[in-house]
Amino acid sequence: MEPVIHIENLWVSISGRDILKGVNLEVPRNVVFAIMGPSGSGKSTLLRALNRILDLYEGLAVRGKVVVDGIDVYNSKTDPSVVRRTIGMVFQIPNPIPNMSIYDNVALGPKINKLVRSRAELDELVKWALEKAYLWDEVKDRLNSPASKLSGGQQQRLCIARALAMKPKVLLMDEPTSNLDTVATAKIEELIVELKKEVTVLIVTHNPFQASRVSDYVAFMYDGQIIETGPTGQIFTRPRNKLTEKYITGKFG
Amino acid sequence: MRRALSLKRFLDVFKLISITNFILISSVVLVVLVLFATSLPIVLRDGVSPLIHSIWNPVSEEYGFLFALGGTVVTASLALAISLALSIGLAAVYAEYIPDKLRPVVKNFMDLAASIPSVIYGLWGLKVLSPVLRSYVMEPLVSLGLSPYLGHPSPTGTSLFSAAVLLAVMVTPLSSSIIRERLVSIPMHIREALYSLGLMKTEVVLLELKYIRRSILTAMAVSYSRAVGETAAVAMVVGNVVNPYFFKIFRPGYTISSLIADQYPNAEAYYYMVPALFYAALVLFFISLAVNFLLLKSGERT
Amino acid sequence: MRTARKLKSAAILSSLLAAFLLTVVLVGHIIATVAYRGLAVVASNFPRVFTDIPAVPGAQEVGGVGPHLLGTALLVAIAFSIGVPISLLAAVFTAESLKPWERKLGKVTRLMTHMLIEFPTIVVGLSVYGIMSALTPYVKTFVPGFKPFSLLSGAVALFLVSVPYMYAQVEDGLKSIPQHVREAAYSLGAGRFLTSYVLLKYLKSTVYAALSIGLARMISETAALFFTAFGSDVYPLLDAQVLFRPIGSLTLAVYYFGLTGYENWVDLSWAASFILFALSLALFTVSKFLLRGR
Repeated sequence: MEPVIHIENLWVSISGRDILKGVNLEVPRNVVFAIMGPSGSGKSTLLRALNRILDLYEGLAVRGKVVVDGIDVYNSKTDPSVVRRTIGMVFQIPNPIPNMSIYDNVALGPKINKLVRSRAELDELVKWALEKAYLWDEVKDRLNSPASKLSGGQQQRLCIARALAMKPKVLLMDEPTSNLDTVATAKIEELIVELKKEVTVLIVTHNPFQASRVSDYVAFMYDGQIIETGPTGQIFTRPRNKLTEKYITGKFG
Repeated sequence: MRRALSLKRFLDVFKLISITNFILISSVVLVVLVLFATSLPIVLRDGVSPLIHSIWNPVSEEYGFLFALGGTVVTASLALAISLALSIGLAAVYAEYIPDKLRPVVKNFMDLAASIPSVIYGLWGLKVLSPVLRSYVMEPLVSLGLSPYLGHPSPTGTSLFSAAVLLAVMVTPLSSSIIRERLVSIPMHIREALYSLGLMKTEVVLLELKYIRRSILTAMAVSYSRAVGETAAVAMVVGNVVNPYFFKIFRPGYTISSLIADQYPNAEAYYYMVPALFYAALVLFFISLAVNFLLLKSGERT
Repeated sequence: MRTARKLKSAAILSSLLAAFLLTVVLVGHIIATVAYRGLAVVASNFPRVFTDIPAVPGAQEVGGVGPHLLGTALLVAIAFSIGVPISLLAAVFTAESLKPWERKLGKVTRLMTHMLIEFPTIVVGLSVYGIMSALTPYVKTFVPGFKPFSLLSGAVALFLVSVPYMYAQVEDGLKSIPQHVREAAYSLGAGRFLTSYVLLKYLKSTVYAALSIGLARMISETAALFFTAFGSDVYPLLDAQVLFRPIGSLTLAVYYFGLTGYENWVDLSWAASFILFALSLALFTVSKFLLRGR
């Protein structure tokens, strides 16, 4: 089957410093793909390169090819906002827009991108997304209260719902549980496994155990390069590379 | 024993300097009291009638200053509208569209603009802005047949309209700095959240402006308060003519502050003129008090 | 659909850019005009423009703004020498207050000075005139020449319009001193007054910035001087009565000469604008430099 993400020799530098040094990667459809590695290895930058959120940073230079769901991301004719509509993203800090209501946070993307034709359709979509994010039952009675009133875990699930409401092909998750407690983390991990029915999930984590719990495939990154990639079971039982082995056994740094 | 005594002496010095606080407090109280007390004769004589009449005739000791009150409200409101558009544009472009390296230049330039003495704005407004507005804005609109609504401009272009435009230029550096500081302080993760939804840059900028709407409200209140109280610059371009039709903005007129500034050389020659001017000042005082009360309510002032 | 969205986006972007450019161009034009027209007059009348009295209206020559410069200097000198000690000491008292009554007094001071900032300066000037007029009959028995339109009134008005800024700047500075520095200062064992002196020394650049901000306020104020200093185009007689006679200022010179129809006086107004702008630019630069990184 055609991979949904295809990355070929991707180099990224910010303000003259090389962050990614020739990354090659293929991600199949409807799987959870984890990218793990120590901090500073370029995981987050790789993720941000895929939907061109990286464009927000000053002094950026990108070389190489990225194709996501048939879109040539770095083609000069490609509109970055179109790329971002195809690729949802969930961030390290739960970041709902604080002074907007729960409903409006989820409805924002579909509304502005005109994905729905009527209010009823929008209501339906918001409900669907919140259900998929395991949040509907907790918030259905207070959809109009501000998002900032939710707990950290709820806010993160709201962000997942916000991304899902755009019906993306790919969902990028940048260490989505690093600011949450263990209970909230468990709930989100459970959710991630469910999500692959809808989308391809690309998750970045600095925690190898989380990678082993949620993912079907895993890549290990170090110093701006992908050291090793393969099915999760194989990498965690028979790593081929010494660095990978050191990392998953917790003997790193 | 000696130690205790010397400590006590130091403490007393500290208490002594509370005199300076009393001086400050009592000067503010005095300023307000005198405002009330001096306007008392005309308040007792005329009540609220000066507020609702536009007859300014010192010879017969008649002082209705509705025309000036109207001029103040009209110029300050128009200035607020123009300045709101300018400050939002300025702040948004500053925070979102110019490169980081250029920002300190623009910031210092605008801060400098805010520090230029207002009388210099006034001279520029009189000699440069008013004639330009007359030739390129007022005359064309009048030739379209709008003079019944807007009035005919004076030969020099001094008018309520010119005053409003000048005020807008004057208050924009300050009000845009309030919006700008808030805009650049929007956390990166909020910005990323908006972009990750596939919004175009201008859509993100509009949402960010909506996000900081309280600061925009604060900026508006600050602008209005400054526009209402500004004197020297307005007095130079507003024309200083008693104009009961203050809504015809192309005509010259008066604002409360320019009335006071323009009339003071002869004030002492009449019996009730000084109280009348104090009455007008009192009205000005209450307007800015009301605006500042709103500002306090909006709660974003330190 | 997509093109409509792009068009809307382009329209918004161009109006934002237009607002930005318009403001920058207008402000740039003000500065350029003052520099160009003012400098021309100052240069062709150098150095007499700083010392001469204004020429007669309609004359070929422009004369100078000597009396106005001296007036501004006298007004500012008096206002500054009242304003600095009062604002510094009041700020110290507010920031270092401990006992309930002290804190309350500090709070009221803060509130009142904050209110004073928001008063239109013309109102402040008018009020000073009112105070001086009310005092006139009583003071006249001791000082026969006492008048409400005077250097003294002008200086009091300038004091009132500038003191809240100096006070607030220093008070904010004192409040923002890190706890460990404050503790270190107090651990020296001196009383609060002497300790505050140490803290003010620690805040040196903030204090100087506050003073230059206050100075800039005084120099650029016009409205508060109408009803107080009144204005004068001749050199004041520097005798014992100088405090009680009207006096000119640079800002009043810009105002009057600018509003007349005489070409040479309008030129003089541009010259005065230029001098005023140069002074305020200098003070602006000083305070920016002192507050850099903040």
